[in-house]
Amino acid sequence: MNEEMNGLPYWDFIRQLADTVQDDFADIEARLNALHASILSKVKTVLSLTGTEQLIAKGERLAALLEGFADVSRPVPDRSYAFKKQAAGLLLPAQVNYVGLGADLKKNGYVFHGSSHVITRFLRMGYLWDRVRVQGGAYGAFVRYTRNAGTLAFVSYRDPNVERTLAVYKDTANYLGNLTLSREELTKAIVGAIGDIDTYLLPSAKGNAALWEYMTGYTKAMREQVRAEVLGTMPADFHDFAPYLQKALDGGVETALGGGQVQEYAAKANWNIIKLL
Amino acid sequence: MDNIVRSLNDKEKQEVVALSSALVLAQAKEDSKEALATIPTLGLNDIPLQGKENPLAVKQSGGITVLRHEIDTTGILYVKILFPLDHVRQEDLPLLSLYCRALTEMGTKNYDFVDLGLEISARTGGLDTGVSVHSRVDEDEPFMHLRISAKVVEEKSILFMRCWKRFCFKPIFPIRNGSCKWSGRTRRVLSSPLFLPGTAFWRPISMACFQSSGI
Repeated sequence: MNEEMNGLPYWDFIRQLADTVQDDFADIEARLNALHASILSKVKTVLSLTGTEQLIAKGERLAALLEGFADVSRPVPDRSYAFKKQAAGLLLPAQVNYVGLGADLKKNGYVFHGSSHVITRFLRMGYLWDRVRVQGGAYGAFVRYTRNAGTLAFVSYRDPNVERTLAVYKDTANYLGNLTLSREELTKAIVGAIGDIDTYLLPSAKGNAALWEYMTGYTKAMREQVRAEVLGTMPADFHDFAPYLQKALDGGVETALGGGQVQEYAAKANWNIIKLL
Repeated sequence: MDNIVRSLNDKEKQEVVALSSALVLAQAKEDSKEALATIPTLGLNDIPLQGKENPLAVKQSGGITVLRHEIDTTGILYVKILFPLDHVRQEDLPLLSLYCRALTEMGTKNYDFVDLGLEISARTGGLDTGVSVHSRVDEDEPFMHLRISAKVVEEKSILFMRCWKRFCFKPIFPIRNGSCKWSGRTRRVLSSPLFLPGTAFWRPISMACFQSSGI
């Protein structure tokens, strides 16, 4: 869904629309109006209010307005995405690159454990920082693991390299598998991960966090379990993570966005080449 | 600086040189374990076993789920409204970004985009629209919502309701005087997320990675 709305399909859509909207506005207008009419329904609509009791009481008058919308349930279309797992080089005139590698941990047997917060943070602040940023010269590099989808993505940012950065990503499992962690290093990694979880939130952000915890079914018991797993992370968790990561990386998909360097590597590695600009 | 140098005799100059050398050496020297141990650090014992909870109370009001987050917000009410988008056809998904921006930036039947912008600015501390995509914990299947967020001070809460009615109940996307007034604006505004130099490019690549992974 995100890909359709914010990724390459959206890019194609906007470019096409920019070319045709002047002459064929009626079509897009009709589609927008139909979309608008279909969205304004009170079924499963949620109103979230953050403030004092007095403020919330005033805000609840909005619920009365929302109740005025149609009580219509609309069928959900089948969304069977047929993604091709193919490496891609996205080309544009740029002297820096954005290098990514996606991997599916869930399909390779990994079951979410709180220690993954500690491990990915440790990789981000240590391994990737040193090898992609300091040694490789990239402006940034991170790794993100999505619990629900079970996917993990490495991405670098304003990176002067392509092949070198991919090699760093692919060596991650080997690095974790052979890692020796001192008690101090492990404590630092755990404290850092807890720091991410306990990050300071302004009042509006607390309301927002509670809203999405409710919407996604992230319960207090789950939060406590993850916290206990983070606090109880041991060096063995890093080692146990490594084989799952290796399997996922073996079936991972590489993508890079950039200029001549990406084009050259994409051709050499037989990637799908897509010219954006 | 020249005056200072001229005011020093040879002995004083040598003292300055010696002090500088000692400073360079001291800065280059690794800190001892004892010195490092004096830097305060957090240990596992300093971390509370229980995390903090965010305020939440749930109630139903005429078919609408109302989530109340009671907290002192220094007189500001934060409002979020979520409309499900799961019914939206596949071919209309790219249209959603355009739709969200059109809601607040393109005007309504009775307001052009300037007047609507002024109305929103006068009645609220900001009104924002977007699409949120999430999935429930440990489930693959994502769900999505149109998200309308606003903040409003207490004394303007009633005015905000009126603004909200005008904004959301009235048809949008006008064609004025038989001609399209916002195609140029559409091109500029709606393509900007992808044309922003540098900073936005991580997004398509990140998306491509996740897509390739099978999300």
